Amino acid sequence: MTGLLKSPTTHITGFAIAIASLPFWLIPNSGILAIAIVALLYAAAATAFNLTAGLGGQLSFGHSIFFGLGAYATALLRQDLGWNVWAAVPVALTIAVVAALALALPSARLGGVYFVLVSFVATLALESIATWASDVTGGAAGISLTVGSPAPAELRFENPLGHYYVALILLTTFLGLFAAVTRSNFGLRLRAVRDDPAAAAASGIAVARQRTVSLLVSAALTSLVGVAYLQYISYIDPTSAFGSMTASMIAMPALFGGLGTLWGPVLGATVLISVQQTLNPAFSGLPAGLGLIVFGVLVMALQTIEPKGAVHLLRSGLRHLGQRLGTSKRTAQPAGDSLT
Amino acid sequence: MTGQPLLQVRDLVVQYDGLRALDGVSFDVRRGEFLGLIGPNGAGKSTAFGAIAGTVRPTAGTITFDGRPIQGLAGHRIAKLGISRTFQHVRLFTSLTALENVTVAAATRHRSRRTARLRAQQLLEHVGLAHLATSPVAALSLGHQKLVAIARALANEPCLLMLDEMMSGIADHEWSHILSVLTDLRDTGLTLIVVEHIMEIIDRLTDRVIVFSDGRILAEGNSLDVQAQPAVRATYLGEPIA
Ligand SMILES: Nc1ncnc2c1ncn2[C@@H]1O[C@H](COP(=O)(O)OP(=O)(O)OP(=O)(O)O)[C@@H](O)[C@H]1O
Ligand SMILES: [Mg+2]
Repeated sequence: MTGLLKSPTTHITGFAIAIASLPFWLIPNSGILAIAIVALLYAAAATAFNLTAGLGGQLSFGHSIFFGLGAYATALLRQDLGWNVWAAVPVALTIAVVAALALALPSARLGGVYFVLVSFVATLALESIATWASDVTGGAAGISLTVGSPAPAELRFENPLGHYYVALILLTTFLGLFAAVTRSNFGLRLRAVRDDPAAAAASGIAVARQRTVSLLVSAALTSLVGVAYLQYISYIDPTSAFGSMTASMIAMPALFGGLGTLWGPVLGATVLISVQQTLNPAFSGLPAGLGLIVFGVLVMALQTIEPKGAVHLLRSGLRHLGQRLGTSKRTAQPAGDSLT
Repeated sequence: MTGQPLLQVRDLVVQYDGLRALDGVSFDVRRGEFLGLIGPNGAGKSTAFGAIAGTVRPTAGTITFDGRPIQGLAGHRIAKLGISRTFQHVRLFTSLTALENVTVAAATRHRSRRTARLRAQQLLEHVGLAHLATSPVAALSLGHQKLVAIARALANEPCLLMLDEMMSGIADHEWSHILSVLTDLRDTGLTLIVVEHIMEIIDRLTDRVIVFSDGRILAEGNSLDVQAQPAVRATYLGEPIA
């Protein structure tokens, strides 16, 4: 019984049911629903990011590359060739994986800060290219898709609730995958590489290969979020695809919530994306770039309080509360449990 | 093949930026031998382990293992060929449990997760840590951490095992247990190289010792003979040359 209660599958199922029910009692208006959809999408992207950054210890500041490529590929295929979104998905995935491979081959061996820089430069380069190749991409003005008549089977919904559930399905799937990878041999190798690459190599683990594979999987998943984002907004431009704000919105929730933990990116996205969307200059009249500053301040403040992230803070807070109420019988944490 | 040494090191040089940590070192290790490396701090003993195991890239020289040149190969390839090492500063996977530390290495030899886990359990039992299998390694004593490191190195199923300072920093009550683990390893016929500052261990276990000093080999022979040499007494054992 306690085994079942502790199992990540149970937690993820419970989470999915709870979030699925929210629109019926806790989401009062379409403005809040819009924030919730974006938060769910970025929670999914942050979970994909967490696979390589959290488990594999390979930080990147350019996951927007895969998000943006997914969104642009779908936008162009739908607009120029009239493709159905489902036909665009495998193309988007392939492009993202090829881009990840191109990034990984020179840098997986080096890892660390080098990869952070390479990925950041690459996403800014893509932003420039998307702006410059205006014949294909529409340049800085971006691509606006004609919405046409709703077709739920093609993920075009009249009611935004449809997009809410698509985002929730993506997030739930990613969480399940993350939990499964964490417990697999592959996940164990990734964590070993993150903890000590030299010791991992001496134990027979091909360090660069683990990093590369985790990046490919992470890139593929992140591109799916790009596709879902495009289906929801029906618009993409170079900055929202590849810009530094998008890069932060994918990386920061994981850093804020707790790298390598199952729930950190979800908690991080809930907090940060809500704040970011509230400060969104399009609605609030506040200067652009404020979101980035607020992200930075929040993440830094949290790092000084609890370097392991908000999930750990919340957890020790809850344990503390439990002890004060005299209900908690648990004193020790389960060993080696990174699925917090 | 049995007549040939298992490991041949020839003219090995390792240069770290401005510092030549190994300056033309050559030695052989026979199959089944228990070799000790001794020498003062900074002599290059750990660097020699690093170069052989692929942790450090040799600047020059050749290393032949089981008839194959291995110098400059990636660490995981050398491990696959059958060379394992432990680290002076232990370097366990700190977010994993003791069992996971060993399982992840065993899984490079056994495809099935179950088999890898069983093998890891067996090895932890072998070093006397079965009861601590699910402990996070950070919670273990240094002695226990070093035993996990041995189990992890054995999980790679090596022909050659290199142990870097197993006894340093060990609590008195853990001493005899680790010594018995080392003795058991020797009795299995595994080829072993140990770096050790504690001469009692070197005297009791090794067939032969090599004395390193300043990146070179100063002396070589059985433990007692080597310790009797004036140059060794002066540079390592801290006695003035008579
Ligand atoms: N990664 C490194 N970068 C630069 N210099 C290093 C590095 N590792 C070791 N050294 C230097 O190389 C020399 C040899 O070091 P090494 O660790 O091999 O010595 P050792 O014989 O193992 O000494 P000890 O008994 O103290 O462990 C030392 O002067 C050390 O400071
Ligand atoms: Mg040393």
